[in-house]
This record gives sequence, structure tokens and C-alpha cells, in this order.
Amino acid sequence: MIITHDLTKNYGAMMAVDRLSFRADPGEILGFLGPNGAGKSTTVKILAGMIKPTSGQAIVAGHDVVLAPLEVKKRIGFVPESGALYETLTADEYLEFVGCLHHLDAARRATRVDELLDLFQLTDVRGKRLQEFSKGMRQKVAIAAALLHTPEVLFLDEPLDGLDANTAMLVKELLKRLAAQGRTILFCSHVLEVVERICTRIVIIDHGRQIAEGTAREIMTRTGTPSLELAFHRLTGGAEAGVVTAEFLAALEKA
Amino acid sequence: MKQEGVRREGPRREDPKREDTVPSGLLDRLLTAIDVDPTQWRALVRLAWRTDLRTTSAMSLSRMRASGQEPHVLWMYVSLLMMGGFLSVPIWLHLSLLFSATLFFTFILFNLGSSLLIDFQSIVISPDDYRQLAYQPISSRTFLVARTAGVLLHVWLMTGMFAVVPLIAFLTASQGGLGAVGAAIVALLLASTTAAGAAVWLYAWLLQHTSVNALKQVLTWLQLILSTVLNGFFLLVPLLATRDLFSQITPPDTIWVSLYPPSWYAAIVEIGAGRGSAMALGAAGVAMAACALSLYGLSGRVSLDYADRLGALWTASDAGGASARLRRGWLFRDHEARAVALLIRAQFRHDLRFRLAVLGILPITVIYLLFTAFDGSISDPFTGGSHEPQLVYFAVILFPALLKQALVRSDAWRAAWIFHATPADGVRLVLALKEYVLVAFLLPYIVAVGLLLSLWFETWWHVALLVLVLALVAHLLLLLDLWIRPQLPFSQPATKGARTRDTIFLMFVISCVGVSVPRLLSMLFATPTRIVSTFVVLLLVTAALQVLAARRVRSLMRDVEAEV
Repeated sequence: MIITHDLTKNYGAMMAVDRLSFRADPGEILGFLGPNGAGKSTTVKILAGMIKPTSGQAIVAGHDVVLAPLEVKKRIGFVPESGALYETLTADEYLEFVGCLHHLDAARRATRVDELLDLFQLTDVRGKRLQEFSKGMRQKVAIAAALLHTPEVLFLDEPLDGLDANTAMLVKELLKRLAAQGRTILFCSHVLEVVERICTRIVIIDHGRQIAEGTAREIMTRTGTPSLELAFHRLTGGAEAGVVTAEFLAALEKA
Repeated sequence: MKQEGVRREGPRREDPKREDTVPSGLLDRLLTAIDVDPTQWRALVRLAWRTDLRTTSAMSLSRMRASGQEPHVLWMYVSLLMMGGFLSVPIWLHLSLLFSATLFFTFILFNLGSSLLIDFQSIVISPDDYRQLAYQPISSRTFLVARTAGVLLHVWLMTGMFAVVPLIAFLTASQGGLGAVGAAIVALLLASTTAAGAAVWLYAWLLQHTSVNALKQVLTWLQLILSTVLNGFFLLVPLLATRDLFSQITPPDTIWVSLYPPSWYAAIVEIGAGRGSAMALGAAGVAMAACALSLYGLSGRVSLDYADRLGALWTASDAGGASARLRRGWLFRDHEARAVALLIRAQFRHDLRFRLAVLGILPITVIYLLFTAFDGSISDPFTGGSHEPQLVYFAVILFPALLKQALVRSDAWRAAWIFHATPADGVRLVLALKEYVLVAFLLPYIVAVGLLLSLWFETWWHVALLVLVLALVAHLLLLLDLWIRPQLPFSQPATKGARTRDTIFLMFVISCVGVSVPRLLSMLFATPTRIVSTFVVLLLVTAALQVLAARRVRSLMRDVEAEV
């Protein structure tokens, strides 16, 4: 479960997250959307206990992220947008490394590593260094690392980035099943079709502030638009694409 | 491999829509004359300078705030200012102007050399910004000249900071004066430009003549050799100072001195002070010729192939063999300790730069031992004598602290988010780093030093006790370092200037410890009671500092936030 109440984070005068209040219950896949720089990654980092909020409260898996960050970290899995991994390690070693950081005992670690490498079809390359992996393969390792300790809550920031169609399908199916098991998933993505298809509910933020919450259908009805893409466009105040492109082409012609 | 975008040909292209770039100033005309597009050049230099400043400050500021540290670049300049002050002592001591100026330029050139080889290598070789610029219509020569200008700006700034106090000394010293200061400024410009030009040429030449897969190996070995020379030199200077060599040495009046490059620049200062001899004039001529040559070298073939080679470096895959699994032993069984062991071991095996930073201490130790043995037999501190291997003591004591620098700074620092997103105990991670340094690096090193020393010492237990005391002192310094700067493994960016600053800082530390250690050892090893007391005290202090360091690390780590 994730609950935030007036969650705020500022960097000097810049308000990255502004009094954000939402909740995600067990079994839910909460789509967390917003334009670039809206404060999604900052929010996720606060919820994962990686940075501290300026004010407000966040409860993840029953623990306050400020008062008990370690308890939160024990119960969450995180796939960051950057996907940076220690590339001198092999896939096998990286998962063992993360297993150690999660205090998994050796036997459980080995079993889970085998299972996840098998699931993501990385068994054949488990002994290769991550330096040699493609972007998609690294992303698989990052997702596997997030699932290693069977977390209660998952924070996924653009998890499908770089994955081939088959693996993307596998991940989407996996997320649905994990949610069905009662896990809570916060899913950040710019691919709105995917969000619409797999998320049970959606929160949209802009300039750090929450501007919409509900199911995809509810948000579309409220904005009077036929698709989530158009609803997002209307809510976040994006300029009319047709007008902008026409102006741009005209300017190009003049030059 | 031919890359699109950055091109080998000159900048003159027929493009009606392109902004006309008619050369206006002298610089523009000069750049155009060497086939460099002035507009692009200016944009690239501005970009490089802004990127450096912003990366260094933005990347570090919030972390600095959390840890109470100052930005690296600022510290580097403060260190340079202090080092310049140290070097102005011989000038104020009224030593021969040629000697003190030669010493000054020796330091300048060594310092610039080390920075160019260690900290600023990436400006020339790194294909990082090439990734963003490869698609732009920039000629190869414009690209190289812009990167050279970026290096020059850094180098001039460093030299300027370094020279502030010595220039005042040149002005006020009895042999100096305004003429000497003016000449010193000219000489500084020549020396720094030559060093930068030569370094850029060397990198561009290596890029041109080395296969892409071998380049990293070649560069790292080059760094090892040159940093060994440099560190050896830096560590030797305090010893020379304590032996009062500054006041004994006078420059030999021979033409062979002219073969020593710093003396060329010193000769210019002499001329400025009104003491120009024919030899000094010749040396000054050589200095100017060297500068012209280093810049001319850059305009040759290397500048035409530069972009192609960077492109090849960019697209080259860095394949490597699989590693053997880390066996579960009785050591590093704790979760955090095993994670740290896995990581450091992999970095040591596959990150050549890190490996060489570790191994670099070995040739230095051997050089120091030979340096001590060169003018007589090495004394055993238990039996007395004035010829103890002080430099080896320094190397042993400082090895863990040097190692820690290499262990926290890495190009892979962005991956350190994992430490903040997992329930790993920050204190245990930091302490595991220390334990790993101790067991995996310091212990084998101590054994190797012990074996070397046993060639000179009378009995094996003298060697054993000595290296044990040195190891305990080294461990204490490492604990102190952790107490001051607790850092997670490979979690800090390898920012420009950081290593230069650290090396300069260590030189000052050595100067302080240098005089006391050998005298202290002879005193402590005088009687069996003192020996036992030494161990008891060292162990007690270690235990106390371990507790204090853990407490401090815990309180500091609580406030550390993820930067990645």
C-alpha cells in the first residue's frame, strides 16, 4: 500500500513536488503520469526512501518513509529511469550483489537468481558482464533485481524502456499477476496506451501538483476526450499539436 | 570506421542558408587560417567550459552540503595556491635565481603533467560529448582545436593559481624584481601551453596509432608509469626538504643543465632579471621552439583523423571474459561485506584504471627501497642507525588512504542508487569497504614489503614487528579518513581536479608525518617494554577509533540522500 499526504519537496525556490496526496491499495497498478519534469521521479525517489521530503507524509507498505526508511526499503522493489548498473559485474553477480544488499540468505539468493534469470531468458548470458549487454538486456536485469526479494510494493520508472516486444509483453503480464497476488505497483510511463491497458487507476501530476486521479475511463469522461492521450494533453495544457506543427513548418519555410 | 557528422575536411562549405562567418578579429583570422571554423570553435569552447563548471558544481553541491565538504575544483585551486606558497620558500631564501626558478618550473610541469594525464585525459580522449556532436557539421580539426582550447583554459587557470605566491616572491626577492616577474609570466604561459599542447598531441597521436581495443590498456599503463614517476617525485620532495638539500644544492654550471626542460623556463626568468647569458638566451629559444612545436604538432595529420578515431572508440564494444565466481569463505560472510567484496573484486578485475591505481603503489615502494639502499645499507630500527627506509614507511602508511580514493571515485558512480534503494546498512557498507581494503590489499602488500625488507634486516621478527606496527598505523589513518569522509564504494564521480587536489593534500600530510615516523620508531623499538606498550596503545586507539568512526558514519549516513 502507498499513501501520501501533502507530500512536498522543494529545492530552494523550485517546487519539485507540491502537496501531493494519493493512495494505491494492494492489488492495484497505479499509473503515475506527468509531462517531463512534472516531479514523477522525485516522488518515486521519496517513496523509495532515497530522498527525504521537505514536508508531508508518505506511508509505503505500512511504514513512514521518513521515520522508517529501512523498513520501507525491505519491502519495495525499484527500477529507476536511469537504469544505471555496475557494469563490471556479470548478470549473475549483480543479482547476487543486490540479494546481499537485501539480506537474502545464500540459498534463497541462489534460487531466486536462477528463477529470475530463467524467467527473463538470461541464463545463457548470466556469466557475461553487464558492459556487454544491450539496453534491453540491462533493463531485464534491473527488473529482475527489483523482483529478487519478492517485494510488497514495486516502483517502476519507465520499466519497458528498451525491451523488445516479447519481453515487454512478458513484463506486462508479470505485473498483472503480481498485482493479482496483492502487491502494489506504481507504474511511471510516457507510453499511455500501455498505462491505459494495464493500470487499474491513474494519477496525473504537473508542476509537482496532482491534477487528475481515477480510472482511465473516469479521466477521459471528466475531460470529455476519447482517449487517455487526449485527456493527458488537455490536462497538462499542451499546445494543439496541429497548430504548433503548422507554425513550425511555416517558420522553417521562411528560413 | 567512418563516422557521419564530424568531418575530416575543413569548415569552408557552400551553404546558402548558413550564417556567414566572416573572420573579424585576430583570433578569428588565425583560426580560419588553420582551417578551424571560429563560430563553431567558440560555441564548442563555451560548451566545454560551461559543462565542466556546471558538472563539477551541480554534481557536487548538494552532496557537499550534506557532507560539509567544499567543491573539488575550489579545493584544487586552494591546494595549488598553498603549494605555490611552499615553492616560493627557496626564492625567499635567496637561493640562486636559476635554481629556485628551475625548482618552481619543475613543480609546475610535474603538476600540469599529472593533471593532464590523470584528471584531464578525458577531455581529449572521451567520446562522451562526441555522442552528442557526431551528427553536427563540425570538422575534425575544429573539434580537436576546441578541445585543446578547453584544456588550455584549465591549465592556464591552474598555473595562475599556482604562481600567485611565487610571483610575489620573484618580485620581492633580492635577485628578482619587476623584470623577473614579467619574464616569469611569459615563461609560465610558454610552459603551460607547451605541456598542454604536448599532452593533447600525445593523446591524439595514441588515438591515431593504437587499435581501439588496445587504447584503454595503453592509456592506463601510460598513466601508471607517469603517475608512478609523479607520485615518487612528490613523495621525495619532503624528504629532500628535511635533509636541507634546498640550502645545499647549487645548479651545476654546465651545458647539460639545458637538457632539463624546467631550466629553459628558468632561463627566461634570469633574462628578465637582467642576468641573461648566451646559454640562457639559447635555453629561452628552446622553450619557445618547444611551444611552437607542440602546437604545430596538433595541426598535422592527428587533427584530421581525430574525429574518425573518436567515432571508432565510441562504437567499439568492450567485450571481456566471464569472471570466476566469488567463493564463500569465512571472510565477508555478512551481507553488506559480501556485496562490497563482489563489487570491488569485479572492479579490480575489469576496471583497468582502478586496478592500476591499486598496483601503482608497488613500483613506488620498490623505487623508494632502492632509493634508500642506493647510498648505503638500510638500517634496522631495532638496532639503531640513521638509514631507515623512511619512504617505504610513508608508502605503507599512505597506501590504504590512497586506495580509498580510488575505491570511492568511479565512472560508474551513477549505479550507486542501488545502495539507497535497498535496506543495506550504510555503516556496514562503509566499514566493509575498509575491511576489504585491509584484508585484500593492505595485508598482501604488507607481506610483500616484509619480504623485501627481510633482505636487509637482521632477523625476521624485526621485520614482522615493524610491518605490523606500520600496518596498524596505516589502519588508523584509514579509520581517520573514514571518520572524516565516510563514503560508499564507487559512489563519487571522478570529477576533474579531485585527484590533483588529493595528491597535493597527501603531499602535505607526508611532510607532517615524514619527519616524525622514523624517529618515533627508533624510540618505540628501544626496549621490549616499549614494544609491548606500542602494540597495546595502537590496539586500544584502533578499537576506540573504530567505535567513534562507526558512530560518526552512522550519524552522517542518516542524512545522505541519493544523488543519482
